[in-house]
Amino acid sequence: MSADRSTEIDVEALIENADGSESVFEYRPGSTPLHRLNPVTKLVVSVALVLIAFTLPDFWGPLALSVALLALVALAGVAKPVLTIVLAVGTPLALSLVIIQGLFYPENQTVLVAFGVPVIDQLAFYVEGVEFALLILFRLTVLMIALLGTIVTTHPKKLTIALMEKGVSNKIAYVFMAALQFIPQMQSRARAILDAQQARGLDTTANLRSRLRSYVALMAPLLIGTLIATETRALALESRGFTRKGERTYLLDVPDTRLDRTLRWLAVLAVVAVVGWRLWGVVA
Amino acid sequence: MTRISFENVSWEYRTGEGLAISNVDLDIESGSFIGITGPSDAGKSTFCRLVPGYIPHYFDGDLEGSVRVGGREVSEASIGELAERVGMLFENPFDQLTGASTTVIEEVAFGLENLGLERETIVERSVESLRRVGIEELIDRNPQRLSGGQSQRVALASVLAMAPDVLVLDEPTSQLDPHGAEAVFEIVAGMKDQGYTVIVVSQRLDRLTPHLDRLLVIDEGEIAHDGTPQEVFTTPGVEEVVDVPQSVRIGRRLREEEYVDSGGIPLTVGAAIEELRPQIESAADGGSAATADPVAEVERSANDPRVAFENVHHVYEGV
Repeated sequence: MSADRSTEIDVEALIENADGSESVFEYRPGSTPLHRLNPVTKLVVSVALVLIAFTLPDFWGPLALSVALLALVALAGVAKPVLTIVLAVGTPLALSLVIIQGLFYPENQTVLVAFGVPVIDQLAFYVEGVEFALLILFRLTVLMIALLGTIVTTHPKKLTIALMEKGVSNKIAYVFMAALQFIPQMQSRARAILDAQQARGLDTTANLRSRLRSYVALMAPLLIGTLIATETRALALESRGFTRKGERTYLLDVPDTRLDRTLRWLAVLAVVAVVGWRLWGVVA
Repeated sequence: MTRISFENVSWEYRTGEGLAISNVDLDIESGSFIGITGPSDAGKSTFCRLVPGYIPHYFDGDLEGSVRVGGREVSEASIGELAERVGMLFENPFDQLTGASTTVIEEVAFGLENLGLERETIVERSVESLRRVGIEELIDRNPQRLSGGQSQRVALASVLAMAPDVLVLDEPTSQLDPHGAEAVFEIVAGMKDQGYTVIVVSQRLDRLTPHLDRLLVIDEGEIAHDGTPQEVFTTPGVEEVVDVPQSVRIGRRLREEEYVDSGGIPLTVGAAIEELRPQIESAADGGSAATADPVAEVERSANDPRVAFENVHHVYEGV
């Protein structure tokens, strides 16, 4: 009876659709082709695209890659979380890059626009500098979209399983998973300590000096508490066979299809081709 | 069947401060329900750590004597091997979760994945463990977002999934609210009937006393008292090291004052009431008992506010 009821449970759907941590880096459930790819494939292709973007000589290549990647994440229905971060990081980056490189890039020659400014006469933006700024910007855009796209379409559990199936040790996979949850845990621990200290009269809103003092008052119990927690956790992990050698099984199946293998090979070939082409250009 | 025996066991942590446990000689029968109590820092946790092999495998120090679990010498088996016989539940409900799972089922299945069992078996055993501790409905919840009581039960389910037959619980409810503590105690009390050997450490034994086969009092690293709860609680001087349950105190006073002269000390509130019933009835026959005037009490507190709330609203930022 009980066995019947257990096997009715679709563990995969249950884990996939569970409520998450509400962070921006959180997995968004879905069933698009991008979601279904093996996580390792997504990682390999992302890294390949980043390498290609950093190898290409002008900004048109990275721009085209960014647009293509954006279309891909839009098709996967995760454009919103990805764009939120890309815009939040990219906008100040774009402004500072264009201003600084446009004005001061050492190879600046061709004036793009010039403004008359009192005292220093005129302020000129140069084509070379702006193009260089765009090159850096779109290289970073490729990096952000590719990695964020991978993160938000991959359940962390599946990523760790895929990595372990490719031979990554379970300790490294654990560190990856635990790191995702470590920050919210530390935050809530810190909040509890701060509340307790404020209740006993610690002033956390005053000038810099007393704030520094309160910082010390926070860090000591936070670190000691974390160390004690680590001891308990180490014992709990040990008791659940964490360091056991031998075969492991996984709660979820993470398929590695022919499409995955093809994509990974194509990604490697593309990197080799682009690097080869650039080297050939240098030699010629 | 898993019998636990301590032969002349002494342990000193490498950090010093003397023997944490000294000359413990003890046999725990398979299937028995053992309570351990005693003052803080008396060596209760050290005793617990000896059974699943955390001492001597994880903690550094000097071990003398022999601890055997089911005929197996603890110092010669690894923690992982012992985990299939002995499960341990810690005090802090949050620290003992793996911190690497997004749902409760992953948390409970963690150990079974490491054992390399079939996926079907893993799911079956995980769900069965959750059912056993009564939290099947939490299966898809994020373990980081549970209350202390829920979290402690997830930890217990994770331990049970490993299918041990000995359970060691080190102050499993001391960090829980009364409701959470009650839920955990209820499950623990039922464990004996399911065939487990249970060793539970607690400073508040009221709730568990009726289920205990045996009560040990550890004081300054030694076993100061060992017997049935009735025997231990009636030993003169025991209240100096043990928090004696209210019902037992009442029973003892009734005997001292010679209102009651026979039978065992009441271990539960229900048994204490039964003992008191004839006294109350005779008191009611004898006339009115003095009671405090409830109206005066209320008036005093209303005119003397220490903390007053008047029409308070508060909304947290960002909600």
